Amino acid sequence: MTEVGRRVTRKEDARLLRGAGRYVDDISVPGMCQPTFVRSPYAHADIVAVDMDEAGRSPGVVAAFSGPQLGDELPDVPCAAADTWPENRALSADRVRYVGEPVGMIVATSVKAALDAAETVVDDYEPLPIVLDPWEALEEGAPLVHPELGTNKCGEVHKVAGDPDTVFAEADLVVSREITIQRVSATPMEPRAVLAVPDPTTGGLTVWLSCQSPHMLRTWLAEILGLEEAQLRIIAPDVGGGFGSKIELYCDEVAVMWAALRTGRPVKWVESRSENYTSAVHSRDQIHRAELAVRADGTILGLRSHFVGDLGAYLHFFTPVVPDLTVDTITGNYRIDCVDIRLEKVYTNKMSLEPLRGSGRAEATFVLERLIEEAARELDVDPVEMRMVNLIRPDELPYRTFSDMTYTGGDYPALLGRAAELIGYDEKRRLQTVERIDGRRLGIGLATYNLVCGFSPSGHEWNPMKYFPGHEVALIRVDPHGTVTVYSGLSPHGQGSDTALAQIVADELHVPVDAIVVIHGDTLAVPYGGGTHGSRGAIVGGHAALMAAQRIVDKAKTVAAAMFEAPVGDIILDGDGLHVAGSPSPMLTWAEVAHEAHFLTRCGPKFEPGFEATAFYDPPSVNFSFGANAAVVEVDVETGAVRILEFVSVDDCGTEINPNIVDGQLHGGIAQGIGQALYEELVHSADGQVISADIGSYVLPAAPDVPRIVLDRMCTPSETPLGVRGVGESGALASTAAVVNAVADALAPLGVTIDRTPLRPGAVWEMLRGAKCADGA
Amino acid sequence: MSIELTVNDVDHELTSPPDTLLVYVLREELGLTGTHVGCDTSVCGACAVLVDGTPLRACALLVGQVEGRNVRTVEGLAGDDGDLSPVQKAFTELHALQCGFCTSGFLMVATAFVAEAEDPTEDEVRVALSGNLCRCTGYQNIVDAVIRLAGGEPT
Repeated sequence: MTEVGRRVTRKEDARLLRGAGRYVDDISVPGMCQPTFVRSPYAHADIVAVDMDEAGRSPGVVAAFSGPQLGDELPDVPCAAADTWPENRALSADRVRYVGEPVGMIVATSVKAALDAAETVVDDYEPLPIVLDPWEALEEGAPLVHPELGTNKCGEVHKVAGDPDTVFAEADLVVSREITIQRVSATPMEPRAVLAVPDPTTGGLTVWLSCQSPHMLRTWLAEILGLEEAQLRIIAPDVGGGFGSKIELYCDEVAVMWAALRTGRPVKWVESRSENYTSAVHSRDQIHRAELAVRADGTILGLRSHFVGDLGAYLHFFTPVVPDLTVDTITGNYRIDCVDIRLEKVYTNKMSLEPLRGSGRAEATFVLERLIEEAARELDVDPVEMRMVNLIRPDELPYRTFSDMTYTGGDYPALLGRAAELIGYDEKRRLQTVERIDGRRLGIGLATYNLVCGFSPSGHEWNPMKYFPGHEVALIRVDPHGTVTVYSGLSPHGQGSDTALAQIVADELHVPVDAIVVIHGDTLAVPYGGGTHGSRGAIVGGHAALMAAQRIVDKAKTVAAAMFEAPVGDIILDGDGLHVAGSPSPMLTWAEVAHEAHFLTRCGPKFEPGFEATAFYDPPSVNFSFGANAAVVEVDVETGAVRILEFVSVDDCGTEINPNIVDGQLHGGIAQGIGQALYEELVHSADGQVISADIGSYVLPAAPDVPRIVLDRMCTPSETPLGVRGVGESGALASTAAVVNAVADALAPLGVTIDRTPLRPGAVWEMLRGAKCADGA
Repeated sequence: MSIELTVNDVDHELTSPPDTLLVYVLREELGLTGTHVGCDTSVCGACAVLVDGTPLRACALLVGQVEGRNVRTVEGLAGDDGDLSPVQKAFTELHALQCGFCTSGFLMVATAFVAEAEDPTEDEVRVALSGNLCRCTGYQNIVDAVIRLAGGEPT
């Protein structure tokens, strides 16, 4: 029985369950200082002064840094995805452009001393007009976030295929909707944290950083801090969630590292949860003016959308390319060849936009699936039937989308059919016709998804960044005792890839999973890797481990051949050890082979000493996984409360290394999608404050808010040796649409149209009231 | 006058002032970093510990308020022989943790709940866990672990 495919309990669990995990805040070093930041209370203002003089003299304060006083002594934090960017100093000097922007930092011997000193800071601003609405930001005369650019428009992507003007003019029906996808926060349970410790040996720093990509960040940080990469050791220890918000560099984190170099003292900063909401990155935030052209029988003829991506004030890391994936993935699993999709990317006075689980693709799926749902309703065609008419069939594969992606696998109609079957679609439709006396209305919603994943091949057009590793690496060492250690360039933060990689290697080496040690996250120990994001762990990380394991097997056989004085082609490796084909004994254990490989005591120099192998795997293409979700909701028309009664997800992620891990990733992604549908929003006041800046005001789903999720699977192996596909982001792709479609289905008979999320009770109640008034009732 | 506190069956005479939040006493004075700080409004539950068997938020208690009491943290769940407790075992068997940051809070709440609950429904379990937030798991496997521990079988 192979380890790949087995529900192996995780290696990561024991230490985490015992409270022996090591997150950045769990690590302290002697002489450590702690900072607090002075942040702009204005969304847009000229900085007159940030006076830290008294703060600098306060008890326990080691140093007080003022952005205006330091100016360009402080590093400019670059945008990874652009060749030029508006200046973004670690502490701002001249102007602030979002509430929470760091302008000063106090480093003290304790947080308390730093906070006390912060009370003495005198910061003075000249407020400027602000712009928060992205459409307004595009208008003539809008306040300019970066006046030197002359516009708030950062860029545009416009793709056209076919003849949309004619198709839309001649369609039986055009469904038009403005669809708003609200701004949300990744909200990892562990806030951002960084401990920067000067290293006198290298003259640089050892940095413990709660992050998703230590090597990539090291490369950027070396430039930013004026160090060689060899002087920088980045360690991602246990990381308490990321979801895309910890791939990037942050001004405040850079300021901490800079301060450690400047003061020569270790500096540890752990943000507060409120800081996470105001000053860690934001996500999603698109507004679509979208249209679907259809024939009376439900055939989709074309899709148009003109949409804005609200980037926030600064080009943070991936910011300018974050919404781009929505353009390319807007047609999902459907046969839609006539497309006109135009994205305008806009600066506003908000925190920057960065990727969140399913970034770009979840937004595309939402718009597409909402349009299909609304079109089905207007045509009076069953929503399942309408999708079946338009889903790409297996006999149409390979299928090239309008955006030049080639789908090669998956049975999209079967996935949808199975989801409908598991949700009891026909029975639920029947139940809907039953009169409900208590004012609760039943709704059924569906959505399908296609997840572009496995980011990404080096040099791919979706990798425009100067430093963005597309490959992954694995280094496997067998020590003289025969213990196998795998060093992976992945940087997990809950995904369990240590266990998954051990399963892959265990199968190749015929060594127990439990005996394999997996190490990640430390740039001193691990060769240059890409980190964990974009559903790449299994596809890219897994294949690097597989390749390295195969090279280890080759070396083992070479050594064994020398020890047996047999041709290497005659050597067999199986669960018992290494032996010559046809003779189960004599047999060599891994320990015996390892000893010989290192010390050559029996055979002399018949091979190069040492017992390790490194493999770098560059995926040949992006990968895809796909699925369908179905939701049944109940809406209380008196209160607007939405309850999800049932939720089904049928997913095809190819070969599964560890089905437990796959289930867990789906559960988590679906919960986030439900959060986007019903609960979460980063709400800005008219003066640009994030008013939902604490857990509570920002509503995260809790256990009673997430339904029991029924999972089912299909398996179309990918065209890779392992046959794996991505799954980390899958759950977040279609779940929002499935839930919102269900609410729309429940309330359509009352004349309610849904145009924005989250569907909080108050929002639903307003929509119901609006529909009632429109009715004259 | 130092505060006396028993933590995981060990008696301490604390140096922290009585107005120190319990969570910081545990993490910083006693080095028990398994209890985590996840928010600043006492909502997320990552800091949950047992005080005389009752789950309470360590970020919402001043150490002076628990003087003389018996506090159990996640580090005090495993047996003297090092064996994981039944609650800890159920969590790993059912894959009820991913990044682990919220896990200690859930373990403490689950430990207290399971000690009292008799054949709870799934809804009752979810409500019992509603004071602990998780961003990774979607809760389902945690709920299943608690159902199993309370004598039921997950759906």
